[in-house]
Amino acid sequence: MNCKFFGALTYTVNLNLHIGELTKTENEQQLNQIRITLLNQVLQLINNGAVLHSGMFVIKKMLSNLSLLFMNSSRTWTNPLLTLINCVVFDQVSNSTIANNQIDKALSSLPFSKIYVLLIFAQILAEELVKKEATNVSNVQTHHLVHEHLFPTVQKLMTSLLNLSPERKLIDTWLDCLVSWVGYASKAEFDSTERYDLIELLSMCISLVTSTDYAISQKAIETLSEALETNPSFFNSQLKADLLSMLFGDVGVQYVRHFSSQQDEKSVADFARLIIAFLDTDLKSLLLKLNDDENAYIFDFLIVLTNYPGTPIEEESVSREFADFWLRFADYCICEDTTLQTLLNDKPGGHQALSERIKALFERVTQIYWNKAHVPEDEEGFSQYKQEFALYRRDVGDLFESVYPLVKLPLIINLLITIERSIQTGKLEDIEPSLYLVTCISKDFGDGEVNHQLVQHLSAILDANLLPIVLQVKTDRFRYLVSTTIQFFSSADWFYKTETGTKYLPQILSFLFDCMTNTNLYQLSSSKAISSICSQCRYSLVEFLPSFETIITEMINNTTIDPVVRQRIINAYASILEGVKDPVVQGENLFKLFDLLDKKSLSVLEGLATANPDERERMVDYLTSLVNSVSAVGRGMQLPDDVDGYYTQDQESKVREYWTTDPLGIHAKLLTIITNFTMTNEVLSENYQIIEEAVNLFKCGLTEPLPGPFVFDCATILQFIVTKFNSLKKSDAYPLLYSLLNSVVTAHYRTMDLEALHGAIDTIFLSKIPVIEDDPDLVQSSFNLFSTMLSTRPSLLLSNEKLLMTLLEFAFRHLGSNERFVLKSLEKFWTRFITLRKGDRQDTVMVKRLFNETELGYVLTFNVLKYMFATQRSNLETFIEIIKQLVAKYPLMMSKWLQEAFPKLNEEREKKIQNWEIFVKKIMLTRGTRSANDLIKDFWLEVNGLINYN
Amino acid sequence: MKAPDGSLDLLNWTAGIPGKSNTLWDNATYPLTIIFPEEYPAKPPKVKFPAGFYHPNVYPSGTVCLSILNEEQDWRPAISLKQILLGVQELLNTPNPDSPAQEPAWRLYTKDRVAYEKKIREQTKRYANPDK
Repeated sequence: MNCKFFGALTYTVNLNLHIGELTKTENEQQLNQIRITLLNQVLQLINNGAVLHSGMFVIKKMLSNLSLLFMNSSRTWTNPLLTLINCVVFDQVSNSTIANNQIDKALSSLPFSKIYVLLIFAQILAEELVKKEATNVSNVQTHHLVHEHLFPTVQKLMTSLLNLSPERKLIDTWLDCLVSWVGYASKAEFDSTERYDLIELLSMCISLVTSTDYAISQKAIETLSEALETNPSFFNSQLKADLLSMLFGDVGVQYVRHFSSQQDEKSVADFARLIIAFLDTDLKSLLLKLNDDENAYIFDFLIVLTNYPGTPIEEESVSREFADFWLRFADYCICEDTTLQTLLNDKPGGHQALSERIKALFERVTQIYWNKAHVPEDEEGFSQYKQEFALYRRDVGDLFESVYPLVKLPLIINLLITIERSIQTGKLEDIEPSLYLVTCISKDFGDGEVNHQLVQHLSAILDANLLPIVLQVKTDRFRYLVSTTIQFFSSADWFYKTETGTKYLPQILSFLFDCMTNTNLYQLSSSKAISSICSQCRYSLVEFLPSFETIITEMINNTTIDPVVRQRIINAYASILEGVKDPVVQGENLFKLFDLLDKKSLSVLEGLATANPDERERMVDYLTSLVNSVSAVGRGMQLPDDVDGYYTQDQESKVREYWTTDPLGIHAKLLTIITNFTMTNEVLSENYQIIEEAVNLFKCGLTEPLPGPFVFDCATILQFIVTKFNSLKKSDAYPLLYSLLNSVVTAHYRTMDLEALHGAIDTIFLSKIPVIEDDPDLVQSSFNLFSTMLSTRPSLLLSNEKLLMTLLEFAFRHLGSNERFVLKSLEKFWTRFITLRKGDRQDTVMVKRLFNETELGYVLTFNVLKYMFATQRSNLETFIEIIKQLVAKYPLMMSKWLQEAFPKLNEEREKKIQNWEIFVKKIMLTRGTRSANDLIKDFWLEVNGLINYN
Repeated sequence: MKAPDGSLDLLNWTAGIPGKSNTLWDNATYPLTIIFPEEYPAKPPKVKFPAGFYHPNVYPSGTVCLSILNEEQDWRPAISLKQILLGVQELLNTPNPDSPAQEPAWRLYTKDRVAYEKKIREQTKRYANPDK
């Protein structure tokens, strides 16, 4: 049999290889011959009992070959199915033709085994047609021919076959064939103007649902679901009415009852899928049915199905199928509310009545899902499907969130009341799902949604000792209760914003601290909650600062605490400090924090040198986390963007005075910490992350409009840059220092001391050029720095002739860079240098003189052209921009530079550049406008012998 | 996202990208906003992580730099939301060093992979799934 299969496969390979050639008009005869040969082979195969019995895969491959032939010659061979029917009926490849209306008679003379082959062929044809990739024109033609010739035969074959009362296997294939034709018909309707009438076939499929053979009705249900999901427009109103009466009538009830009694939950879930696919086709009609008591049975049935017994995921998936459906229905009810109002306009109170019914329906639905949202108690079994259950619960949460606008306050209040009662009765297992669902509903509450009743109920729960109870049961069994409680309080900022809610903050924070410190399990989630609460309620938590001291000390002293947790808590502390407008209080607290941090880090720093590698790694992580925390405090304490009105005049002058005099020496303390971390310790001095955090720390204060703990003067930062640069043995961290200097220039360019700046540049650039040249990152960093100078205050650069000359040479050289990011930074540098938008008169005169009176313009033009013609297409933009700026700024000189540069360039080039004179004329006419882009691009393509495919 | 009245804001979506299993990004869900322009699908949506998200192909503002999200590159109106989300999920663990969007993560990714991975692990903790 394998040998036969490889024979069939060889046909496939060769057909695919030669089909293009074969389908030419002149080869029609040859193609016909191949078709006859293939058909003869198929006949031989299906007349061989052994092949029919165990070699169906060979026959299928041959049918697929026939399908391939048809697909490529559908204009001359319009009905391959009819051809095969003829062949099978007459047992030879003949010219005799059975018409479509004779098919039923012809089929009655055939054994089922051969009809089965015909059905398989019909299915393969549809599947191959769906897969076919073709141009629109040929697609439309094929769709037309299929609709006109092939489909009527398929339809006749299928209807005739079902009238013969075939065996189960044949009905199974019939249903598969129907699914394939629904798929194809849907595609054909999308791609062309052909319209399919599948009503007869679908109607037969519906009747199969009522089959006494449950296996057939199961398969028919799956088929109908697929058909509805693929294209519901194939179902007309009669079919829909039939489906409705079947699904919600005796057939449906019997079906569910039968499979429920067999504990075959999958079949019930498939049935649910069909119901959902059916209802989804017309949610409006379903919604209007709600208005009529006569339809109550429909909703009752849906509720019964939704409430299918068993633990979700583990024992049943029906409720999962329905969760999505109810969510869509809820969204539909909300979105179509206005339409409903209009529709029910003529019935006084009609809309109100319907809203009440919607509400009542969803109250029933949510009650079911509240039950289903309980985390199963069987720990061991649960671990098998834990993740899937979490996804299920998330869907249930989304459903509650969607239902909330319909049921409104009672939904959340009922959940809160349940929690309160559960606390009183000790039914702790009901607290978790309720709190989980409250979180889902309320996590995005805006100010307008917080109601007095809501706050009261939540307060009542807290008064009923929810938090102490949760802490008491912090065992494995109630792990989810603790976790959900933390999640809830992490997102309940709507509660803390109320006056009543604020009173509970100490209680809630203590609970979270307890969760965080007493077990590792909840460290990350509780620290996140603390950080979020402190950030949201900073002004209400000032009194809480002393309580933080103990915890902060623990955070700093305990080296085993997760760095993320440490940073979050210190950040939370900084958030509250930021809310304190009295600089004295701020200063005192900051001093304590930094002093503690300084002392603790010193003791760890001392041990670094002697620690073994593992210990050392842990210590470095800890120290990195400490310095990270310091810079996080800096970020947390930055003043708001719009500082006007943040302080009163009196407060502002106090802040200025305090931080200018800095009585506790906080600036000095911070500098000591920075020095200890980045300079004095050999293990840390090259550590990229530590230096990065020190740089971040300095950056925090650069944009501050008022003096503050993190605001340092320019000289101090420049001093740090120079000292650190000199101490570095490796160049990895150079870009960090460049970036810091860049930020200093951006913030202080107006007042910068030129001598100090040039001193710093001397150290980090002029004295290190060989190192910088070797590393494209450093080249990029340096160009970024100089571009910032040019775009803020060009004299910062132009006033230093030695630096300028070295830099220009450096900038010529790197036009030949292959790195896109270097070229981008270079583009920025050269265009800013040429345009000099921020230059004063002196700067402008100086640069103009450089271009007009020295070789600069020519050399730049020459190098730009030289490297442009050698660069790859994606880098062209850089060179185009520089040329455009030169043409715009120095039109007369540029023409001359170009005319000198091209001949010189041709001297160097093996392949000479032709027609450059015309290019020069054209480019000068553009005056550096956007029209130059295409011109340069086209010339670049021409010079490089390439074609523009755009 | 939903308006207070419960109606859907179809132009602004929130999503979560679960980190792929068995990668550094596993066990966490990374929050994402998807902002659809009026011209969608002629123009691509803007996909953003929170500002400061650490990844070589995420801008400091949080905007994801991905060719299929770039109108001038590989965006096609037929690209589905599922493909976008899967693309972003894939990008998390397979950054494109040729298209850097932020310096710190890109530099560390290209120069010091160990330090880069440490930073990613730290970020993963920040967005850890609640039950982990």
